[in-house]
Amino acid sequence: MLRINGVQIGQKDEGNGKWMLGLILGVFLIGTGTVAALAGNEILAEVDTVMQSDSRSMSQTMTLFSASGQSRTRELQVFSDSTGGEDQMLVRFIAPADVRGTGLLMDGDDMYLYMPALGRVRRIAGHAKQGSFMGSDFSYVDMEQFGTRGFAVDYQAIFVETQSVGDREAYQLQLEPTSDSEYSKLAMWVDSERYLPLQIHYFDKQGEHFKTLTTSEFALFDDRWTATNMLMENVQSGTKTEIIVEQVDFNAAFEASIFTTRNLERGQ
Amino acid sequence: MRRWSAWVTGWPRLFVAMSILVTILAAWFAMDVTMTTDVKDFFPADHEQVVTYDEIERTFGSAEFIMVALEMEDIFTSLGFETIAQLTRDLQGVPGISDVRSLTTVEEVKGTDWGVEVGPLLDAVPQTDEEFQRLRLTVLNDPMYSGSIVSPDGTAALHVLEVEQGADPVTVAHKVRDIVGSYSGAGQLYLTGTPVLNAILAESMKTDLKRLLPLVLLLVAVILFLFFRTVRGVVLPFLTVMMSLVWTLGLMGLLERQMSPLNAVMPVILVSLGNAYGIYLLARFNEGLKQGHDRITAVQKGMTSVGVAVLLAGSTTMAGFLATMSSEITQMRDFGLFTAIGVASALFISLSFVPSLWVLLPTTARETHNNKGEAESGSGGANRNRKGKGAKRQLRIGTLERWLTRWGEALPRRKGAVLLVTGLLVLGALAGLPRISTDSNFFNFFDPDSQPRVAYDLVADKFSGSESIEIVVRGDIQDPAVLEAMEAFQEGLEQTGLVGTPQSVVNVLKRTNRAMQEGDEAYYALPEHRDMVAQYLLLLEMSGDGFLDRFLTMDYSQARIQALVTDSSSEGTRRLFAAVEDLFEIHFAPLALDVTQTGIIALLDALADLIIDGQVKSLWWALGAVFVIVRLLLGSWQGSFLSTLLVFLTILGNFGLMGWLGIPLDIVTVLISSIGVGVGIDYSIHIYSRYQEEQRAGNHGSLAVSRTIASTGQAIFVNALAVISGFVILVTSSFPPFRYFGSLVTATMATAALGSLTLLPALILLLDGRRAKHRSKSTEIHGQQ
Repeated sequence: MLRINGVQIGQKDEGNGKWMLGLILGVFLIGTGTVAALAGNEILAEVDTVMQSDSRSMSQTMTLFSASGQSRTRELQVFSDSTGGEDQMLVRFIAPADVRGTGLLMDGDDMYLYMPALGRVRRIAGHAKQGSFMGSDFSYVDMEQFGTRGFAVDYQAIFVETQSVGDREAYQLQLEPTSDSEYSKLAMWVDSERYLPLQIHYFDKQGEHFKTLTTSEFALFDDRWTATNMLMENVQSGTKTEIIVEQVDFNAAFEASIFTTRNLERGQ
Repeated sequence: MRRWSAWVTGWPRLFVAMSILVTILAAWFAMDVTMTTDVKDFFPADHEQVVTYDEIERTFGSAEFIMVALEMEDIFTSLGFETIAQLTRDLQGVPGISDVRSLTTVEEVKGTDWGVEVGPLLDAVPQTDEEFQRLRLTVLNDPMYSGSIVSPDGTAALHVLEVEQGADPVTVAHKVRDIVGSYSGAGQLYLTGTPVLNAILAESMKTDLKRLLPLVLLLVAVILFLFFRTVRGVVLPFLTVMMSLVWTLGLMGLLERQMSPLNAVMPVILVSLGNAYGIYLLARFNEGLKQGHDRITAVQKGMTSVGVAVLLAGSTTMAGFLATMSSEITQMRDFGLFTAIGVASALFISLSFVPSLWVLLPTTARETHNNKGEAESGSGGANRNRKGKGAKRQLRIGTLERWLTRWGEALPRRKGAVLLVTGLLVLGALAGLPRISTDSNFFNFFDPDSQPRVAYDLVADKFSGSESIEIVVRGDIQDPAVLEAMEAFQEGLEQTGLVGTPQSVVNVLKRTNRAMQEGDEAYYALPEHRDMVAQYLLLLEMSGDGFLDRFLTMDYSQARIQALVTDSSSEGTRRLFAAVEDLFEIHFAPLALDVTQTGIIALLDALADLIIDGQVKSLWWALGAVFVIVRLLLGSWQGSFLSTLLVFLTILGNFGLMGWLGIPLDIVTVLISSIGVGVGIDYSIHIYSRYQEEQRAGNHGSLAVSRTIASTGQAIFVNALAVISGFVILVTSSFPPFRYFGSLVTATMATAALGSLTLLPALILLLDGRRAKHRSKSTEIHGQQ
């Protein structure tokens, strides 16, 4: 298990001369900074270890809420895989009945949609992927980060402090993007025991608080703790999206052919 | 009144200090008073139309748009597109703007060789002339763009700005105005839309008032000086109106009420009416001094004799204003309430602050000799003293007196003619009544050649318009039958020629269908099966952020049809609403769908109804209240009936005039009747009470009437002149409704004054003459004072 011990460093150093004090203080500050970053990144890596898997299949119910309170619910089966290097995702709509069988395939930057009513696969413009995940408050990137991608690839984390979130003890991390990102920063509260994010605040490029993710209802699937309820609220527009995870298979092994347009066309 | 005057003269310093303290406090709160021009603020919060409108805004986003039109020789050039792109970027950067729709941002469902996408209409700006010509053809032949973001002739492009929910549209409009104001690029920019008009209206009204109010004050000061020929004769009534104004605004600030175009004229009203009370009192005080009393005795005597009359004259005025509180229009009730409070303040200040300050002032030589006020006080027996600097003026009043005396003597012979002329005028007025139009559209507050109107007219001319009609259909929107009904409704609506091409999820689905079939025009139709509708909607949701939010709720239970209105005049909107109701019946009733219509124009239409309704109600209330007050005051049913009849006919004349001159009944001109009744009644009261006085003095019939006209006629003449001079300044306003208001109040006051000198005495002679035949004794009721 991981220890947060950065704070202890330098505490025994008590200089006599002023210059000595200054020097030590300097060392102390640099030291704690580095250690905090180190600790932050370690926690983040641990989060990825718990959440990420190269391939998985998941049954979920996604409910979108408008700011004025209307909602829309859909049941999905999501298959994702990154063993081939590229992130691949296949989404199948189970319910409601009028969209049952509709499928969405993401293969790298390409997106394909199969509509049973049309009986054909159509490609969707790639930039659609930059937007929200199927009209929800989750972006495609958000979805990938919880799935096959993880956070450590895109962010470096600084440990801020230990806090309690609800009845759980949590490490608060500040995440700064290491490459081009849709967010300017993230604030993440990580369960100190299970290493699952309990809450994430997303900040937009102007540095304003943009979205809040809150997780709850933790359950064990394949011996891994998983949040079965993820609520993403857009604090700027008032919309929110709730994902309820019904079933996860972390060890799903897929045929390569599952992520092809031909399979997409097969419907079920 | 006697005890009160003893208090006021007993502790003058206390009263002066208290008044100043209250004024300072009020001034502090008055600073918080802002102005609203939002049409929604005119409705009670639970008014059905406002509730509907708010609900649609909450569900689908704003239905109020700020529009920036770019006019240039040819939009389809690289200069045109660069300009639009730059402007769009600048406007997107304005805080509070959630969306800018223009040629460079508008999204389209596009079918391509390889698939489908929802993306900007333009992937890249055309480079060659041929490319531009091709784009011109595509865009101008597409009803979704032609007339909505590009003018059909290709010489103007529109940027439609949607205001973020929760942001103040007027604040946002100001920021957009700054950008448009500092624009130095190609072509010419025009800015319009309801929030912009509201912002400009509030601002220019303030500017207008700041210009008019000093003018009114100056004119009042001049008249006061002509009256009294002393500085204090000007300053005291002047202080009265200023303080009453500050008190009223202070109370508005304290109660967090806002000014509106409607009560913007309140300061002018208070200044014009409020100084009269001070005039009557000061004239009596001076008279007391002249009779050799000391200042305290002069005040006590003056207040006892004229105080009650002043109080009662003020109470009829207040009743006139309070009657407008029977209206449903929030701002109109506020106007009535606060103007009445203003009048009450002026009364109170005239009866407390003015006398106590007057007691504290040293006596000047001029005061003891000056008697100008007497002539105007209407107490009769004036103008015998003709020495001093006022000789010229005295001469004029002498002329007036001669004319009045001659008229008073001639009247008994001419009463038939008077009644005949009145009868003809009443018939004329009645014939004018059906011609009265109402107008609740704020854009008519601007002159036709003013910048806001030019922009508004340009958008109406080059594009479909800048206001929309919003229709909400509730039901299972994914059901093809519902969608077909919507499609048929939209076609019918467009065929009326009263709107541009209506937009809804129907258009989007048809375009999607075409796009999915490689752009084959044969597929520009609604999907036939529910599954396909659902799957297309799913595709659209996945493709574009909030592309559908403007048209469809998340649960597919409500759809919005939006169309820009080409003719937003009251009459045009009425015709549109009637057509919409018919189309509802044809297309939606068979499916038992719940449909509603709203939009700013619907609110304005509802406001017009409220104006008429409120007008009629408040007129009856005012007449009723005045009737009762006058009955109490004169102690005579006949006097009360005749006086009320006279103001009623005066108001009738006003409406007839409005009908014939084509002046619409709007939220400002609607106030005339309450002022007409409340203030116009005073003249009749003066005439009738003087007539009673003459009867008590033993003069009867023609003699009493002639004497009344000769003496009180002068007071009425001067009083009407003073009131009119305040309102007449409004004729120089830059807002047509204020100008109409100024001229109509002038005409109404003149009619009321004239009627009290002609019709009223003629009717008195007629009734009393007839009664004299039946009874030996003439009716005479002893009542007041």
